[in-house]
Amino acid sequence: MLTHAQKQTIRRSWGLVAPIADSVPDLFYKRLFDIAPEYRKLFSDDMSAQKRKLVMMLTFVVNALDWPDEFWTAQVSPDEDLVMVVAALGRRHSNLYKVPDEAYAPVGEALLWTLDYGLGEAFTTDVRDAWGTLYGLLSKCMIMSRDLAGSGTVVAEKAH
Amino acid sequence: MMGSLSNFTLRDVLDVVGLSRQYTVVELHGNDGSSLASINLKGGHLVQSASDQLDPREALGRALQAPKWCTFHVFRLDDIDTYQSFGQLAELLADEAALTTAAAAVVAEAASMPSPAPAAAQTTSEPPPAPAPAAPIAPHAAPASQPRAVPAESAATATPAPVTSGVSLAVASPQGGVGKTTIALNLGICLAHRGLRVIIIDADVNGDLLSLINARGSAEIGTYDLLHGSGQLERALRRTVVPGLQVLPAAGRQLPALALMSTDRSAKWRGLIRQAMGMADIVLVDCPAGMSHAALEILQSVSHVLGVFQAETVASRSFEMFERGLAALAERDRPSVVGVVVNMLRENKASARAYEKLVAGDTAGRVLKTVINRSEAFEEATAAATPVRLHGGDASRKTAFTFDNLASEVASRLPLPQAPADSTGSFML
Repeated sequence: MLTHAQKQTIRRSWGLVAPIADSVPDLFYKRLFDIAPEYRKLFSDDMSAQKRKLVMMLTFVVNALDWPDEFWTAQVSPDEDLVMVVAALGRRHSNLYKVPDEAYAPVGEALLWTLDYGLGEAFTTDVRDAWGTLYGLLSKCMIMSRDLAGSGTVVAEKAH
Repeated sequence: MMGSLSNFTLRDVLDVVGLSRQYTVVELHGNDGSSLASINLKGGHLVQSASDQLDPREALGRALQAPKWCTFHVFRLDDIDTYQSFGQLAELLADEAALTTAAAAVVAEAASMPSPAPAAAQTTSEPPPAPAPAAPIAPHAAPASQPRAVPAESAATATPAPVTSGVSLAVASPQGGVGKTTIALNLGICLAHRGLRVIIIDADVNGDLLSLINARGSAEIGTYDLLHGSGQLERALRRTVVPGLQVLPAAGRQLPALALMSTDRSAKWRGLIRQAMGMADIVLVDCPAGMSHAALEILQSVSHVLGVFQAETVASRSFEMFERGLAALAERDRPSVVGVVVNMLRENKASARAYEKLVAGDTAGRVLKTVINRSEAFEEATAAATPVRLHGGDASRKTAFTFDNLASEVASRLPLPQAPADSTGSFML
C-alpha cells in the first residue's frame, strides 16, 4: 500500500526531475537496453514518440496519484483515473506489444536507476522506497489487466 | 482485471484498486464459479453495495482469509448518488495487518505454553464456516481451574473478573431493523428503574445505540476497542441520567479494527462480558443483526438470550432461523432463551395473523405476553433523541408502560437478585 507520505514524496521528487525531464527517457531507455538488450527489438527504430509517451505517462501517474481524501466521492472520468489508464496500458502491452511479464522487472530497475541518476543526493532511501512501491503497484495493475480470456473485455463495466 | 490469488494476494489487488477513484467491486470466486465475497470500493474507501447484506468490513475480513485457489475479478460500476464510507481502505488494511501479526504472536505464545492452544486466535486461510466453531469452553463464569483461552484475551479483559451469579442477556434477532436496539435500551432503563445495576453493551456498530439518542459524540472507547485490547471497561462505560444504568458504546472515536471482524472473538467476548457482570446485576448485549458468526460469538458468551421479531409474514421463518442459529451452538455454550418479544405489531390483519401464527407454532412457550405495538411514539422519541421510556407525550406514556411490562416479564424469567422494596415503583404509598 502506498502511504500518503509516499505519494507526497513521489510528487516532490518528480518535481525535482522536471527541469531535466527531456533527458529522463534518454537515460531510461539507455539503461533498459543495457540491462536487457533483447527488448530493443520490441521498439521501433525511431524512439522519439516513445520517449514522449514515457514522460507523459509518468507525469500523468504522478498527478493522478495524489488528491485530497475529502474528495473521495468525486466522480472522475475513467480517462483520468490512474488505475483505469494503467490497466489499459497493461492490456496494450500484453495484447498488442506482446510484452512478457518478465520485462516488468528490468523496466522497474531502469526507472529507479534513472531517478537515482537524475536526482543525485535527493534520491534518498525514502524516495527509492516510494517509487519502488509505486512501480510495484503499477506493474501488478498492468499484469492483472492482461486479457487472460483473449476476449478483450476483462476490465468490464458491470451491468447493474 | 482478473487473476488467481495464487499469483496475486488479495492485498495486492486491493492495493492497486485502492488507487482508483472509480466505484469498483472486487469479487472473489471459488473454482466452481460461486461468489465467495465482494468488496466495493470508491476513492480508496470501503463502501457498501445496495445488495450486500454483510457488514462490508466483515466481508473484507473474510475475503482476506480466502484460500489461494480463489479467483478475483474487478469491475467498474457506474457512480451512485451517495456513498457511505466504512473506513479508508489503507487504514483498514493496516489495522488488519497489525492484528494478524499480533494474533500470530499470540499463537506462538500459546504454542510455547503447556496448556492446549486456544481456538481463538486462528489464522487459517480457509473461509470461516457460517456457524461459529464450538469453543471448547463453557459459556459463563468458568471456575478458575479452567482458564479459557487466556492468551487470546486482551490486556483489559485478561484481568480475572470476580465470578458472579449475575445475568448476561443478549438481545438478538435473525433480521435487521426489527427494533433490537430500541428494545435493549428501553428494557435496560426499566430494569434500572427496578433498582438493578444494568450495563448495556452495544455490539452492533451499524445500529449504533448512541446514535439513537444523539450521543455518538460522547463515545471515546467502544466495545470493539476493548475486544481489540485497548482501553479499560471502567473508562469506556458511559453513565446515563438513569441511576444504575451504564452504556458501553459499540465504537469509540474510530471504527472497529478490521481484523476483529475476521478473527474468532469468542474468548474476548467471554472476558468482556464476565468483567461487566462483575460490575452489574444484569448485562444486556445488543447483538448485531442476523444469526451470523458475529452474533453467535456473543450468544455463546451470555447466559440468556431474548429474541426480537417483527410482526410480519416472515416472522415464523425468522423464528426458525433463530432456533437453528442457537442449535448450531454446542449445548454447553447455548444460552437459555428467556423468551421472544414481538415488536412493531400493526393494527391490520396481516400483522395480527403473523403474530397468531408465531404463537401457534410456539410449543415451548417462548413468545412473551407483552407485545410492542408500532407507534409514532418511537419516531417522536427518536426525533427528540430520547429513549421512548423517558420521553413525554401521550403516545410515549403508553409505550413506556408496555416496556415496564416487558421488563417485568423478562425479569420474572431471569435469576435476578431481589430489587430493594422501595424501588419497584409501587403506585400505592
